[in-house]
Amino acid sequence: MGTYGSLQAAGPVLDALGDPTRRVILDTLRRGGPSSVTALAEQVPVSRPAISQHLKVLGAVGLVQHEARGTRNIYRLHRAGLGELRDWLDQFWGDALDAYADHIRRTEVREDEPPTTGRRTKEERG
Amino acid sequence: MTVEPGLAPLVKRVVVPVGVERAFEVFTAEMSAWWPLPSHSVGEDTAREVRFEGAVGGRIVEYGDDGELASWGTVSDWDPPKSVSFTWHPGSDPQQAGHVTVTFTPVVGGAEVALVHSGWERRPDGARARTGYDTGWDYVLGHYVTFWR
Repeated sequence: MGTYGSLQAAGPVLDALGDPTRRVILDTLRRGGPSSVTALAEQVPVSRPAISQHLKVLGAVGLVQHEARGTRNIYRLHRAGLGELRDWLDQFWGDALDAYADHIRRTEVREDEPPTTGRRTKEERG
Repeated sequence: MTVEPGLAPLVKRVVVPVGVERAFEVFTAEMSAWWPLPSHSVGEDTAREVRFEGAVGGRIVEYGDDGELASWGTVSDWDPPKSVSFTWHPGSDPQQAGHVTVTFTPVVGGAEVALVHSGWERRPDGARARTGYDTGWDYVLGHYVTFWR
Protein backbone atom coordinates (compact mmCIF):
# COMPACT_ATOMS: atom_id res chain seq x y z
CA MET A 1 0.00 0.00 0.00
CA GLY A 2 2.99 2.26 -0.25
CA THR A 3 4.09 4.87 2.21
CA TYR A 4 1.77 4.94 5.12
CA GLY A 5 -0.04 8.24 5.46
CA SER A 6 0.76 9.60 2.05
CA LEU A 7 -2.39 10.77 0.42
CA GLN A 8 -1.32 9.05 -2.75
CA ALA A 9 -1.06 5.64 -1.19
CA ALA A 10 -4.67 4.67 -1.78
CA GLY A 11 -4.98 6.45 -5.10
CA PRO A 12 -3.80 3.62 -7.34
CA VAL A 13 -6.22 1.13 -5.81
CA LEU A 14 -9.10 3.55 -6.12
CA ASP A 15 -8.14 4.35 -9.68
CA ALA A 16 -7.81 0.69 -10.55
CA LEU A 17 -11.30 0.07 -9.22
CA GLY A 18 -12.64 3.05 -11.08
CA ASP A 19 -12.58 1.36 -14.46
CA PRO A 20 -15.82 -0.48 -15.34
CA THR A 21 -14.05 -3.21 -17.31
CA ARG A 22 -11.75 -3.92 -14.41
CA ARG A 23 -14.72 -4.18 -12.10
CA VAL A 24 -16.28 -6.68 -14.47
CA ILE A 25 -13.06 -8.68 -14.50
CA LEU A 26 -12.96 -8.70 -10.70
CA ASP A 27 -16.58 -9.69 -10.51
CA THR A 28 -16.05 -12.44 -13.06
CA LEU A 29 -13.15 -13.81 -11.04
CA ARG A 30 -15.24 -13.57 -7.90
CA ARG A 31 -18.13 -15.49 -9.40
CA GLY A 32 -16.22 -17.91 -11.55
CA GLY A 33 -13.11 -18.50 -9.53
CA PRO A 34 -9.53 -18.54 -10.81
CA SER A 35 -9.33 -18.10 -14.53
CA SER A 36 -7.00 -17.76 -17.48
CA VAL A 37 -6.97 -14.75 -19.79
CA THR A 38 -8.54 -16.89 -22.48
CA ALA A 39 -11.41 -17.92 -20.25
CA LEU A 40 -11.92 -14.35 -19.10
CA ALA A 41 -12.02 -13.16 -22.70
CA GLU A 42 -14.98 -15.41 -23.31
CA GLN A 43 -16.97 -13.63 -20.65
CA VAL A 44 -15.76 -10.07 -20.85
CA PRO A 45 -16.29 -8.34 -24.20
CA VAL A 46 -12.83 -6.90 -24.65
CA SER A 47 -9.79 -8.30 -26.39
CA ARG A 48 -7.35 -10.63 -24.70
CA PRO A 49 -4.54 -8.08 -24.80
CA ALA A 50 -6.86 -5.58 -23.14
CA ILE A 51 -7.75 -8.10 -20.44
CA SER A 52 -4.07 -8.83 -19.88
CA GLN A 53 -3.45 -5.13 -19.48
CA HIS A 54 -6.28 -4.74 -16.98
CA LEU A 55 -5.04 -7.76 -15.02
CA LYS A 56 -1.63 -6.17 -14.90
CA VAL A 57 -3.11 -3.02 -13.36
CA LEU A 58 -5.16 -5.01 -10.87
CA GLY A 59 -2.12 -7.07 -9.96
CA ALA A 60 0.05 -4.00 -9.46
CA VAL A 61 -2.30 -2.66 -6.78
CA GLY A 62 -2.70 -6.02 -5.07
CA LEU A 63 -6.25 -6.86 -6.06
CA VAL A 64 -5.39 -9.84 -8.25
CA GLN A 65 -2.75 -12.56 -7.98
CA HIS A 66 -1.57 -14.99 -10.59
CA GLU A 67 0.30 -18.24 -10.80
CA ALA A 68 1.80 -20.04 -13.75
CA ARG A 69 0.07 -23.27 -14.68
CA GLY A 70 1.77 -24.90 -17.60
CA THR A 71 2.13 -22.27 -20.27
CA ARG A 72 -0.72 -20.15 -18.94
CA ASN A 73 -1.20 -17.77 -16.07
CA ILE A 74 -4.17 -18.37 -13.83
CA TYR A 75 -5.56 -15.26 -12.19
CA ARG A 76 -7.44 -15.08 -8.92
CA LEU A 77 -8.74 -12.43 -6.54
CA HIS A 78 -6.42 -11.23 -3.87
CA ARG A 79 -8.87 -10.20 -1.21
CA ALA A 80 -6.29 -8.71 1.08
CA GLY A 81 -5.91 -5.81 -1.34
CA LEU A 82 -9.10 -4.11 -0.31
CA GLY A 83 -8.62 -4.92 3.34
CA GLU A 84 -5.36 -3.05 3.21
CA LEU A 85 -7.10 -0.10 1.64
CA ARG A 86 -9.64 0.03 4.41
CA ASP A 87 -7.04 -0.35 7.14
CA TRP A 88 -5.04 2.38 5.53
CA LEU A 89 -8.00 4.76 5.42
CA ASP A 90 -8.92 3.92 8.99
CA GLN A 91 -5.48 4.82 10.25
CA PHE A 92 -5.25 7.81 7.93
CA TRP A 93 -8.37 9.48 9.33
CA GLY A 94 -7.57 8.35 12.85
CA ASP A 95 -4.22 10.11 12.73
CA ALA A 96 -5.73 13.22 11.17
CA LEU A 97 -8.45 13.51 13.81
CA ASP A 98 -5.95 12.90 16.60
CA ALA A 99 -3.84 15.75 15.26
CA TYR A 100 -6.93 17.94 15.14
CA ALA A 101 -7.96 17.15 18.72
CA ASP A 102 -4.39 17.56 20.00
CA HIS A 103 -4.15 20.92 18.34
CA ILE A 104 -7.36 22.12 19.94
CA ARG A 105 -6.39 20.87 23.37
CA ARG A 106 -3.03 22.58 23.05
CA THR A 107 -4.24 25.91 21.73
CA GLU A 108 -7.83 26.39 22.77
CA VAL A 109 -8.17 25.23 26.33
CA ARG A 110 -7.51 27.99 28.81
CA GLU A 111 -5.65 27.23 31.97
CA ASP A 112 -8.32 28.82 34.12
CA GLU A 113 -11.02 26.82 32.46
CA PRO A 114 -10.34 23.12 32.34
CA PRO A 115 -12.78 21.29 30.10
CA THR A 116 -14.27 19.12 32.78
CA THR A 117 -17.74 17.79 32.34
CA GLY A 118 -20.60 19.71 33.82
CA ARG A 119 -18.89 23.05 33.56
CA ARG A 120 -20.31 25.91 31.70
CA THR A 121 -18.91 25.99 28.23
CA LYS A 122 -17.65 29.44 27.50
CA GLU A 123 -17.45 30.46 23.89
CA GLU A 124 -14.52 32.79 23.56
CA ARG A 125 -15.24 33.63 20.00
CA GLY A 126 -18.40 34.32 18.15
CA MET B 1 -30.11 -4.85 11.65
CA THR B 2 -29.56 -3.92 8.07
CA VAL B 3 -26.35 -4.96 6.43
CA GLU B 4 -24.96 -2.46 3.99
CA PRO B 5 -25.00 -3.81 0.47
CA GLY B 6 -21.70 -2.10 -0.19
CA LEU B 7 -18.73 -1.55 1.99
CA ALA B 8 -19.70 -0.10 5.32
CA PRO B 9 -18.68 3.53 5.66
CA LEU B 10 -15.63 4.28 7.70
CA VAL B 11 -16.58 6.23 10.85
CA LYS B 12 -14.20 8.04 13.16
CA ARG B 13 -15.15 10.17 16.18
CA VAL B 14 -13.35 12.50 18.50
CA VAL B 15 -14.51 14.88 21.23
CA VAL B 16 -12.83 18.26 21.51
CA PRO B 17 -13.14 20.66 24.45
CA VAL B 18 -14.58 23.60 22.54
CA GLY B 19 -17.99 24.54 21.23
CA VAL B 20 -19.21 23.37 17.86
CA GLU B 21 -18.64 26.78 16.25
CA ARG B 22 -14.99 26.79 17.19
CA ALA B 23 -14.59 23.09 16.39
CA PHE B 24 -16.00 23.69 12.92
CA GLU B 25 -13.81 26.73 12.36
CA VAL B 26 -10.62 24.93 13.35
CA PHE B 27 -11.48 21.93 11.20
CA THR B 28 -12.11 23.96 8.08
CA ALA B 29 -10.69 27.50 8.01
CA GLU B 30 -7.70 26.58 10.17
CA MET B 31 -7.00 23.17 8.70
CA SER B 32 -3.39 24.00 7.95
CA ALA B 33 -2.70 24.58 11.64
CA TRP B 34 -3.34 20.98 12.57
CA TRP B 35 -3.36 18.77 9.48
CA PRO B 36 -0.34 16.42 9.58
CA LEU B 37 0.97 17.58 6.21
CA PRO B 38 4.35 15.81 6.07
CA SER B 39 2.70 12.42 6.39
CA HIS B 40 -0.78 13.16 5.04
CA SER B 41 -0.24 14.92 1.75
CA VAL B 42 0.54 14.36 -1.87
CA GLY B 43 3.77 16.35 -1.77
CA GLU B 44 4.80 14.99 1.66
CA ASP B 45 7.96 16.93 2.62
CA THR B 46 7.34 19.52 -0.09
CA ALA B 47 3.82 20.26 1.10
CA ARG B 48 3.57 23.62 2.84
CA GLU B 49 -0.05 24.40 3.41
CA VAL B 50 -3.58 23.15 2.93
CA ARG B 51 -6.52 25.48 2.42
CA PHE B 52 -10.11 24.55 2.93
CA GLU B 53 -12.29 26.88 0.86
CA GLY B 54 -15.41 27.31 2.94
CA ALA B 55 -18.35 27.26 0.56
CA VAL B 56 -20.18 24.79 -1.63
CA GLY B 57 -17.93 24.31 -4.64
CA GLY B 58 -14.87 25.35 -2.67
CA ARG B 59 -11.87 23.09 -2.87
CA ILE B 60 -9.42 21.60 -0.44
CA VAL B 61 -6.07 22.46 -1.93
CA GLU B 62 -2.55 21.47 -1.00
CA TYR B 63 0.14 24.04 -1.68
CA GLY B 64 3.88 23.67 -2.04
CA ASP B 65 6.59 26.28 -2.48
CA ASP B 66 5.61 26.80 -6.09
CA GLY B 67 1.91 27.09 -5.54
CA GLU B 68 -0.88 24.61 -5.91
CA LEU B 69 0.28 21.02 -5.60
CA ALA B 70 -2.90 19.02 -5.50
CA SER B 71 -6.61 19.34 -5.08
CA TRP B 72 -7.94 16.86 -2.54
CA GLY B 73 -11.62 17.39 -3.00
CA THR B 74 -14.54 19.74 -3.44
CA VAL B 75 -17.04 20.93 -0.85
CA SER B 76 -20.48 19.56 -1.63
CA ASP B 77 -22.32 20.67 1.49
CA TRP B 78 -21.51 23.60 3.76
CA ASP B 79 -23.65 24.00 6.86
CA PRO B 80 -21.57 25.59 9.64
CA PRO B 81 -21.32 24.74 12.44
CA LYS B 82 -23.27 21.54 12.00
CA SER B 83 -21.69 19.74 9.11
CA VAL B 84 -19.53 19.85 6.04
CA SER B 85 -19.24 17.35 3.21
CA PHE B 86 -16.68 17.08 0.50
CA THR B 87 -15.55 14.76 -2.24
CA TRP B 88 -12.23 13.11 -1.56
CA HIS B 89 -9.80 12.15 -4.27
CA PRO B 90 -6.26 13.08 -3.24
CA GLY B 91 -3.76 11.54 -5.58
CA SER B 92 -6.44 9.81 -7.60
CA ASP B 93 -8.99 10.40 -10.31
CA PRO B 94 -11.66 12.97 -9.30
CA GLN B 95 -14.18 10.90 -11.21
CA GLN B 96 -13.70 8.17 -8.63
CA ALA B 97 -13.90 10.42 -5.62
CA GLY B 98 -14.90 9.19 -2.25
CA HIS B 99 -17.21 11.21 -0.06
CA VAL B 100 -16.53 12.53 3.42
CA THR B 101 -19.04 14.09 5.80
CA VAL B 102 -17.97 15.67 9.06
CA THR B 103 -20.62 16.54 11.65
CA PHE B 104 -20.19 18.63 14.78
CA THR B 105 -22.51 17.85 17.68
CA PRO B 106 -22.61 19.61 21.06
CA VAL B 107 -21.84 17.23 23.90
CA VAL B 108 -21.09 17.77 27.56
CA GLY B 109 -17.63 19.25 27.73
CA GLY B 110 -17.35 20.25 24.11
CA ALA B 111 -18.14 19.02 20.66
CA GLU B 112 -18.16 15.59 19.12
CA VAL B 113 -16.69 15.49 15.67
CA ALA B 114 -17.78 12.52 13.60
CA LEU B 115 -16.17 11.81 10.27
CA VAL B 116 -17.78 9.40 7.84
CA HIS B 117 -15.91 8.30 4.75
CA SER B 118 -18.44 6.63 2.53
CA GLY B 119 -16.66 7.01 -0.72
CA TRP B 120 -15.86 3.43 -1.36
CA GLU B 121 -18.60 2.90 -3.77
CA ARG B 122 -19.36 4.98 -6.77
CA ARG B 123 -21.87 7.58 -5.74
CA PRO B 124 -25.32 6.61 -6.93
CA ASP B 125 -25.71 9.69 -9.05
CA GLY B 126 -28.85 9.60 -11.12
CA ALA B 127 -29.74 6.10 -10.05
CA ARG B 128 -27.21 4.55 -12.36
CA ALA B 129 -28.62 1.20 -13.31
CA ARG B 130 -26.60 -1.84 -12.50
CA THR B 131 -27.04 -3.30 -15.88
CA GLY B 132 -24.77 -4.35 -18.66
CA TYR B 133 -21.17 -4.45 -17.75
CA ASP B 134 -21.03 -1.57 -15.35
CA THR B 135 -21.86 -3.56 -12.27
CA GLY B 136 -21.13 -0.72 -9.92
CA TRP B 137 -18.24 -1.02 -7.64
CA ASP B 138 -20.30 -1.02 -4.48
CA TYR B 139 -21.71 -4.28 -5.72
CA VAL B 140 -18.33 -5.71 -6.45
CA LEU B 141 -16.77 -4.46 -3.26
CA GLY B 142 -19.72 -5.57 -1.21
CA HIS B 143 -18.84 -9.11 -2.08
CA TYR B 144 -15.29 -8.60 -1.03
CA VAL B 145 -16.49 -7.55 2.39
CA THR B 146 -18.72 -10.57 2.57
CA PHE B 147 -15.75 -12.72 1.81
CA TRP B 148 -13.75 -11.38 4.69
CA ARG B 149 -16.37 -11.75 7.32
